[in-house]
Amino acid sequence: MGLFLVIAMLRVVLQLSLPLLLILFYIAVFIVAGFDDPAFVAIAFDSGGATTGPITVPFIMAMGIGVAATVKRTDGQDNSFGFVGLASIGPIAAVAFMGLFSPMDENIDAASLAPAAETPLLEPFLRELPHVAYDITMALLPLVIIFFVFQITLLRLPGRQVRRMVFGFIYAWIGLIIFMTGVNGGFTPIGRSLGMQLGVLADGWALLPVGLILGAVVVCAEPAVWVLTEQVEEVSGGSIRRSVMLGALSLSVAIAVGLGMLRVITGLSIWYILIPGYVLALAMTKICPPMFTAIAFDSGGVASGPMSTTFVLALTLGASAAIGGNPATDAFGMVAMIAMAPLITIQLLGLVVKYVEGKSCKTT
Amino acid sequence: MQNHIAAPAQILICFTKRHRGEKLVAAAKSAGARGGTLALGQSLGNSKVLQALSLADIQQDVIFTVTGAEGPAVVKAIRDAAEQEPRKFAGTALVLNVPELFLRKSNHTQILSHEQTRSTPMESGYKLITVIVNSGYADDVMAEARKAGASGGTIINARGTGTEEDVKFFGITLVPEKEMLLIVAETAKVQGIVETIATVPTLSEPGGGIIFNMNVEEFILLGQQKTWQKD
Repeated sequence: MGLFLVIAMLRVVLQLSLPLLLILFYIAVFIVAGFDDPAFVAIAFDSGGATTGPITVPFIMAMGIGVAATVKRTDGQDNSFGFVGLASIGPIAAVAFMGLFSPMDENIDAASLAPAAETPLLEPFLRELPHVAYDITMALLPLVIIFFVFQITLLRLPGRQVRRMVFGFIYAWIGLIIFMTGVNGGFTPIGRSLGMQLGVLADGWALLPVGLILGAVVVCAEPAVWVLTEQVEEVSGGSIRRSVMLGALSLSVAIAVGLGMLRVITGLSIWYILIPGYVLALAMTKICPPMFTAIAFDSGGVASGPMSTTFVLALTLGASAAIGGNPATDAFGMVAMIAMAPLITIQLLGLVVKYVEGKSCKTT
Repeated sequence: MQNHIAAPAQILICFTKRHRGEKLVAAAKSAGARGGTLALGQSLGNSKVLQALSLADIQQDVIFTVTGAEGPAVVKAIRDAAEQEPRKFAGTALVLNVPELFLRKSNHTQILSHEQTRSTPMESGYKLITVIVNSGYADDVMAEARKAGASGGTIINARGTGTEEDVKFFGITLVPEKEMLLIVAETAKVQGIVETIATVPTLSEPGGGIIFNMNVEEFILLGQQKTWQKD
């Protein structure tokens, strides 16, 4: 991911076209993934979405916006976004590459996915707390160190701003620990058992409407999505409103989860969805306004966050185990689809905006 | 083709809470305003506790509209719209006189020149102080201004425009990020505020910032004032 972040920065400085880079890298990724075990493919694309989460997204986005702000704009506000989008390609490529060398055991032991036994109310959370706290601390520590190093050597921000940053870290630390404890302790086991219950209902077809509703709602709960929509609103000076983006994201993720459920029920191969989806998304980059392309690819990484990887994925795994398919190939890939859907809908939004703006410019 | 018309020419600046600006602009348009420009701003709340916790930012919408003869009607429309939901639309509106206003209508330009009849320009007793500094320093400037008696200010993000002497990196001109701080203050306090702001270290560096004042014709409080800082 670090490598791709550097690529993203260079892109801004050297004024390279984002759509071009995306197309090139995704084609390369698909070629590598073609040689992979299908289960690995699903996991690879899942990693792309999962790694751009509530810690990385705000930081990467802010850095991207900052870098773009110092560069004199020659073609509008294209440069502020696209960092998260490019950064998510890194893990996909890495895992896909890794998949070339590691054979995967096809039969995942269904027993390992059995729902947890009845436990008292607070126990799962208290159990999660220590290692979540450790994980979050380890995750934030490098950022804190980097910030202080830069503050002393390069930034020299006034006291008030430093205080803001420090409090930001403190709030993020506390918030993330509470959030991840809740999500790991509560969502995953519940998601899985819910999935197993739903999987046997109506031959599994109950999953489809549930999936649609779940997808629409879960994306609004993702913390990184709040950050993205707020940043987009600020950078666009209010022209791309938060509510509009949330609506588009809800719609896209609803469809994505619906499709994911379809995969679980019918065992459809992930390639049938990934390839047309990405081809469409990359083809749209040619006609969509560049800023929306960048925001779209950022939204992809953002929409697939802790909510979707814990709850939705757990639900899908449970459902897959209940229906009797192979969870490894059928259920993984849900996150990848959640990451792919916004690429299409947000670019569609961009086309709509371009059309509406074109019309209104002619009438005044 | 240009024609000069002696008519009031004014700029109307409204500060209101984020996402509330559009309704006020719609009210202005219904009273005859040509349009408006919305900018996003933020201000630092008054509470010391919130400031210490870095939670004091208030998001705002800043509306800029230019008006000719329809000015007073537009102001009234905005005021009435805010009155309908006083808590939602709490804010302030300023009217500043503009010596000349160029308006493009069909294919000729109309120049509204302010009537020279008014001899006392400052009717409201308030002035608008604008401070443009590098990003990150506006909060400090605001804190200094508060010490001198300013009650509130709004920060709008902006960027500098590149010049030939600017730093270039790989052929790309790097432009500095700026913050524009707008403070409305009583005329009596303005001198003190400007002097206090001038002591902020960043302003003594070349390119560190500029301060200028403008007279405010009319100063109107919109909606309910409980959440707005009034001096």
